[in-house]
Amino acid sequence: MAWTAERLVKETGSVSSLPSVCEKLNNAVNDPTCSSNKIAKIISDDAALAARLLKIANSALYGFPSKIDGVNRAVTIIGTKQLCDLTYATSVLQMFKGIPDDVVNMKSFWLHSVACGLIARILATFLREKNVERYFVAGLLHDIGKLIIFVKLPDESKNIFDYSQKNSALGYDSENNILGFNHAEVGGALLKQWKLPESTAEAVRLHHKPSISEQYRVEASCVHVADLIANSLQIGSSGERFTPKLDEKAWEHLGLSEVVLSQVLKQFEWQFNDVLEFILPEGI
Amino acid sequence: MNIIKLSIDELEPGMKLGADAMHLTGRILLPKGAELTEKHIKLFKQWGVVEAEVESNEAIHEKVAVPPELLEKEEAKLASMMIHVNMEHPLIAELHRLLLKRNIDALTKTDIKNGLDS
Repeated sequence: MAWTAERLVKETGSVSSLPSVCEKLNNAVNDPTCSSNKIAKIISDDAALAARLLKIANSALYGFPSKIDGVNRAVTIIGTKQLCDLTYATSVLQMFKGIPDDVVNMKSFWLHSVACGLIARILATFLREKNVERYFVAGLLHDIGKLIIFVKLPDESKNIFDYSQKNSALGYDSENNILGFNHAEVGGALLKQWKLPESTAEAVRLHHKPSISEQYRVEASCVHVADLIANSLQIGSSGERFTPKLDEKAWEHLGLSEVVLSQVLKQFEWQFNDVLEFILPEGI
Repeated sequence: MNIIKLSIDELEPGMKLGADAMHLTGRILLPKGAELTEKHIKLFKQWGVVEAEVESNEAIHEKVAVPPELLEKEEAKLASMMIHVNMEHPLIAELHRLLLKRNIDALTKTDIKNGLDS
């Protein structure tokens, strides 16, 4: 039987579900009767998670003048929906800790992913979006499908690499050619199975052709442009050596002028190292 | 005298506006012909102005002379990376300009540092 994106995800065993705190938190956040105290309690019950979130809350991502030292305070200042999205981000990072270096250089992979997440988040602030963390998570996880392909289909991965070398082709096109599907579809299917917010899964699924998204075109377009910029900056790599194609309609849809780019890059340089230190799991 | 579009970071006191500087909503913040001061630039930043058109006599853009071999080498590197994108698109053209500047800045900075070390 031929592989499809969905089948690949179904058979991914050990990474097939997120820690239960994610779902608990998501339910609480979407329950209008749930108080912020209760949400803080859910986070505090998982000490490792609470510590990771506090680290992020104290990073340059927020730049608060004084130290945020309690989960309660983080909930008030950062917001419940935002913390829920950050919980997804850090939980997913923890799950992919054990992949051996000869399969994929994880450090390089996460460098690219964090860069893309941060740029998507900065673009979202320029668009005056309310919950910019959602963009951060979508950007951070945009290439997660590649990890599944690397781990589950090592022979095909080699063929994809050879094909792209030989034809100077983009990784995305090479995957479509060899597998009949691509990492964006795998990533989208994985996030759907993990019950991440629909907008996040869709932004990941369509990050190479965001203009066809009906419901979440802004999210998908942000991640698309962020991926293009992150690849061009050549900070880390998820295996792509070219600047990916630009979906011009998607850029138009965002309604930004190209002159914001210098601002985006400046903010990026300012925040990147700090964010990296706080978001990456220890040992990477 | 040319009119060129500059990003907020490239604006300097003393430059003359070549067009009205506008807020996102279209409200005029400073009219054409006004000479920029520190305070204007700060206000632009606070009001979210990202670009302005100013009068230029070319000199502003090319402040530092980059050795042509270095420029050529870096341009070739970018060209080989950007074979799948349309270089004419405004976003890509701007990205290319900034990347070239960034990469050359990084190289020249290390050169200076290496020079000091040795």
